[in-house]
Amino acid sequence: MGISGSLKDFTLPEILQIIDGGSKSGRLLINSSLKGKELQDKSTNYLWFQEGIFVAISNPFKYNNLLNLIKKENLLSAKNIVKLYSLEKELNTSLGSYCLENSLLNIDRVKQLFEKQLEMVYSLFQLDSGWFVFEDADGNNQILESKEKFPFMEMTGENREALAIALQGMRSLEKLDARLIEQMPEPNSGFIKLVNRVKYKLLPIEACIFDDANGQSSLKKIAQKTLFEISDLQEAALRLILIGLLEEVPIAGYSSHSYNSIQLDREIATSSAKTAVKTKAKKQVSNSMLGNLVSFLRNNF
Amino acid sequence: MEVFNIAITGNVGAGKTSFIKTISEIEVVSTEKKASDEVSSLKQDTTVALDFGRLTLNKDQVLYLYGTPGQSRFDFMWDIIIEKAHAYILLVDAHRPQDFHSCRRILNFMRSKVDLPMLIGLTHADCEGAWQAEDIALALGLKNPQRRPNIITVNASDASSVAQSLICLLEQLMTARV
Repeated sequence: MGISGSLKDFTLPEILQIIDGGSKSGRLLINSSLKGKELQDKSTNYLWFQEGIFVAISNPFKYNNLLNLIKKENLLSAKNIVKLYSLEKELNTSLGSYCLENSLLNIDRVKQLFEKQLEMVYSLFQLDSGWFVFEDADGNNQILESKEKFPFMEMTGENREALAIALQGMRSLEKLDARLIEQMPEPNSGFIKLVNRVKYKLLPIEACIFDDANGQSSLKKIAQKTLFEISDLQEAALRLILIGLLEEVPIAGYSSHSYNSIQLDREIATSSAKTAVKTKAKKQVSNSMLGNLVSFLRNNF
Repeated sequence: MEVFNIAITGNVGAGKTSFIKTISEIEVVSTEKKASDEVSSLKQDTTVALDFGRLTLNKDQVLYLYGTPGQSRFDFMWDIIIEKAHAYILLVDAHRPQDFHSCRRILNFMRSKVDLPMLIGLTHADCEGAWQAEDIALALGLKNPQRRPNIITVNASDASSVAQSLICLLEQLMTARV
């Protein structure tokens, strides 16, 4: 069993960050049911990934979603739809690729279908409770435990990086839930870059924050410079943090506690600063101390 | 007297107190107790909110272990402990993914304050629902395997396991000096 947990504790962007970071292959089960992670119902969705890249969404209780979508969008004749339904068992490539190879759909139509699938994924960003489980796949694209294969009938052949989905999914949120609000960076916080180059097209507000991520400029300072609202900057910064582009850091001159979400009163902040000034530089320990300590631990425990 | 200070940090329930108790030769001073002599050298005339343990090697050398305060906020006690520490261990409860957020916050806080030798000790790694070390590293934001600190499993209630984690940290320090 791979990673699993509650959506109350992990947001979808964070899970996608782990999938991307680990270049994971397999399926991510997202279940908005509160009954338990073992139970699957109609609210269960599978997001399929190959080496950290999203390739399809499926639902264990609703079959032929992609084909139904093709039907709904009137992209193929009834005769061809019937023919495709019968392919399920013998298909050894994605449905989208099959349609392209057989000139049933053109590439624009296939991309359009994939965008529809992505919209389904973005809608999952609104879930603030439920469960997730990531089930790893082997090198043959087969889920390790259940031995299920990747769902060719639900695949367009198009793909999107997990982090690109995380960024777009976050942007699509009309309102942040409590989990995300709790993670919002403080107005006095600064940022450091975790990557040198951004692979994704940033919005102007995101680009401003990324460009000023030098560990010195706080969101307040960026707000003064750019005239963006501080709350909008906080949300944009959170997006960049959640997709692993930036890390929040306290700015020198502010108490370390500004790094935390809980407010620290001025009195303790002052006392903290004074303590730091008074504290003497620590002494280097000798090599003999380190050697003796290792021997002591080896001999006594 | 030569003193080596190691800070033991981590989320509430990660096993900091057990870790220190398991190996300390003295009773561990726990939260809101009156400061002992050693602890009062950190902060005088007050009650303390930390765990403190000691291992005496010989008449001239001693190891002090300090547990960071249990509460989630980084207050002045953190600054004091960090200032004293020569190295630190971050304990992460492997079967409580809900705590990985705050562990990541602690790790980032420590890294922003000091550049010290450290390792990550995974506790409860054999419990049901425990995440693998690789996945925990990713959840902590440690994406690059080449630039990660050592990550080992620790049984905070087992003296040899605790000793092994300390040896691992010390050897890292010794290697860095060569």
